[in-house]
Amino acid sequence: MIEIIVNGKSMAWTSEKNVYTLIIDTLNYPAESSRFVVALNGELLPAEQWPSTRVNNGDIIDVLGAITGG
Amino acid sequence: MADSDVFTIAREEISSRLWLGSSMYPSPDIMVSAFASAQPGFVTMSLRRQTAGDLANNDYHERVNQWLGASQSRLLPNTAGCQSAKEAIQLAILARELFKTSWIKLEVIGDEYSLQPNVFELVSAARELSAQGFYVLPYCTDDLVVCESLLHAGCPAVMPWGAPIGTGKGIINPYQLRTLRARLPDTTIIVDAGIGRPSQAMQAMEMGADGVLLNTAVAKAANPVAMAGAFAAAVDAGRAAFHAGFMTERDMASPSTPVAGMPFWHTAMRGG
Repeated sequence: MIEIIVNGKSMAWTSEKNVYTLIIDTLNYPAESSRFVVALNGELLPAEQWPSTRVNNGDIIDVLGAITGG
Repeated sequence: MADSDVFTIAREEISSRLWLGSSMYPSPDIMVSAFASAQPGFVTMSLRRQTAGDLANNDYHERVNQWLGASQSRLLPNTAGCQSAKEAIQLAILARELFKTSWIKLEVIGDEYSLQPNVFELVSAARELSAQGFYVLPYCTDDLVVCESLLHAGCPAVMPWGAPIGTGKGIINPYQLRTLRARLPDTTIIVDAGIGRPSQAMQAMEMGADGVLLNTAVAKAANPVAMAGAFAAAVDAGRAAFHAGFMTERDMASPSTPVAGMPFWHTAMRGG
């Protein structure tokens, strides 16, 4: 069982995933999009590294997009 | 305004001394119309956790991007909400990746009630981000020594508050802003936060600020588009007045119209 936190919410599954599979296939974010970025355990994970980065038990992943701000 | 009054920060030309936030507008259309009315030098945005659904429905981001592509405005991401140097550095790095710019409005909040910056964490984050090649524009207090520390950390400008964020109180400590201008004559100073009225923006510019950054005063106006235009006029007028040089204030009245040659008056007084 792999348990992680995505955007503050717990997720769990049994098979192995990489970050690309998690973000695009499981969470349905748009592929090839420049409208969001991914942080793995608080650090930027560039898009080109998603396929080669395995999701490990206990990882904290944040998916961030633009919002209005002052 | 004289053509020679070119505004540059970090050797980059900035198209306007009025900068606007993108938050709290009644609609994306009104936001963009306000931008068109003000022609801001920078437009600020931020970044937060978003679901796939959030991204698909993010009209504001789409409209800001369209505006940036069709105008001279630049994008200024912020680190709003961060409470430590570590958080702010992490968010700034993510912002650079998302927005494809090295400009960052660095915010590190130290007090949730007043939204006063934590200047110790701010200086620490500014030093690290500057070393990483960011153009760090720090939202700071109006403390002279803090501003000097931020400049030493590598910031190409400082952005002292006029008053706490969202209060609209204007320049609550004009003495301190005058001190900053006098002691840091070659530093780019942007008054950020607390500006509620065009007259307050004009006051900041008359006092020698190089620009103002505001959001709520335009977004929460009854007519944001008209208010954006009013702020643009005020900032231009304040800048022109600062360059024009002010008269010396005096306590005694002094007639504007020459007294010499005045008929009747002294005759009437003597004849009374």
